[in-house]
Amino acid sequence: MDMPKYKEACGMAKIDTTSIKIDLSLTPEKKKAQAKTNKN
Amino acid sequence: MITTNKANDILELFFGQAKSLVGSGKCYLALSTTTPNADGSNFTEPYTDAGGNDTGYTRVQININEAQQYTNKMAVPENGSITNNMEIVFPEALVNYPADITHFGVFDVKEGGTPLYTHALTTAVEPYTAQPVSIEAGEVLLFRQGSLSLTFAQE
Repeated sequence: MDMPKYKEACGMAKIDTTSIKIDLSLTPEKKKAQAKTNKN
Repeated sequence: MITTNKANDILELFFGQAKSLVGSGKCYLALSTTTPNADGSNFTEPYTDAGGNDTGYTRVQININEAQQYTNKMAVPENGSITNNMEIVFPEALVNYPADITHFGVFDVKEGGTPLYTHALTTAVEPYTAQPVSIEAGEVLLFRQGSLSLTFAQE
């Protein structure tokens, strides 16, 4: 019986926890400005 | 990448919307011939070849398996990193796989379900660039000790 041929695989994974992004698209200042615009 | 549902679970834990992460207590390593999407879809396992013949592929359990009398193949995490400290061996291919294996996935069920995490197969040395593996009849895919690693980089 033939011996199986082994083939190596690698999975070296890294999750960069320092790149967590915070969406600042609606800061309090922007919200106020938006509300003002909506009022007008 | 951590797939969407599991990422949401982790965020719920971080921000007190859940008290714990719920899992099956089992962990299976799986292989894909396609690039999975963020939600874990498009994870294509090589169960059959192009002609529909059984390849012999199955997912491999990598946490403690009392029935088969083996312990965790992954070491206890240290410094935000977990690595296999035992070989992980897939079944011998009965026929050629339908395509190269490009990604692996971690599942909490033996069949079906959604991967919790997916990543490309890589080179063994840095920089860890993508390196698919082709499997033909009679071949066995294995991860040697230290060849499967997941790190939460904190720098």
